Amino acid sequence: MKITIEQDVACAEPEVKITCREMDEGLLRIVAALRALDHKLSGISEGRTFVFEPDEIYYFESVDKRTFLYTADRVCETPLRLYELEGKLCHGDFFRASKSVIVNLSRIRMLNPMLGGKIEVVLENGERLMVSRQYVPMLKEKLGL
Amino acid sequence: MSKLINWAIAFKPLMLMYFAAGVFIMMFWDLIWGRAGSLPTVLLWQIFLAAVLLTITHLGFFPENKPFSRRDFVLHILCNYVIMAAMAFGFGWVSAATFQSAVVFTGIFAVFYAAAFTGFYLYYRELRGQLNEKLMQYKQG
Repeated sequence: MKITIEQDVACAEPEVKITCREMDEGLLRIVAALRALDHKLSGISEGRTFVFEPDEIYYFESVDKRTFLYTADRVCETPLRLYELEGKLCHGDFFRASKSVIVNLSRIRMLNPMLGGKIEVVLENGERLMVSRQYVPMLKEKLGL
Repeated sequence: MSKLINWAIAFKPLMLMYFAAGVFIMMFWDLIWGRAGSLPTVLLWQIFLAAVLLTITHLGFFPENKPFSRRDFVLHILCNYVIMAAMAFGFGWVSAATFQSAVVFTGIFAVFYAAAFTGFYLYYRELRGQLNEKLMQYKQG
């Protein structure tokens, strides 16, 4: 891959332009990483790329080494790995709920503590997820408990 | 392997809770009848066995990731009752298996189950309230 950096004092905002014959997975990952830096995330669904504000995303889930993001009405695959998303988003509204799930705290409708020390999360769309015992202290810390 | 580890992690606190409750009930029973002394080792082993069986039943029939439904709740009472009755009559915690002793056992079981249920219900209601209040505060910024 050829990387060219041009410095221009007249440039008001950095611009990243990718020239390629066709998009491949590596390029998609680069775009996704750049979007995340820009606080936007991209996902692919049915061959189309969608761009989301983090606030629109309910949760991320890793299934068979593929990462999916869930919004109110769409499920998209993102090229970013869960640990990358955790690094970029977990200082904000997101928190790790289990080894395979990252949840957006601002999209939670209700929290239900369970007998075994886990916490059930009810999202605004009615979906239910579970916070593992291991990650409950992090959730409580985020909530200031 | 990870399932087994998760099961073991869930097993320990639940088993200890059942064991502690069993020891407490035996101590409480002695206190009521004004009996002094200490619990014999054999009784502690019996309580331990009961705690293990109750925990295995609990984790086996009622998965952690699912909230209790009304049906689960009834099943839980029945399972606990059957195990405790088998232990109580088998180990002689309750004298001969007559109708009268069965009624006494059922009464004792109902009182302690209701007390434990009420305790857990109030604790989790309070915890749920705290969590959701903090969640609302977080969402409001």
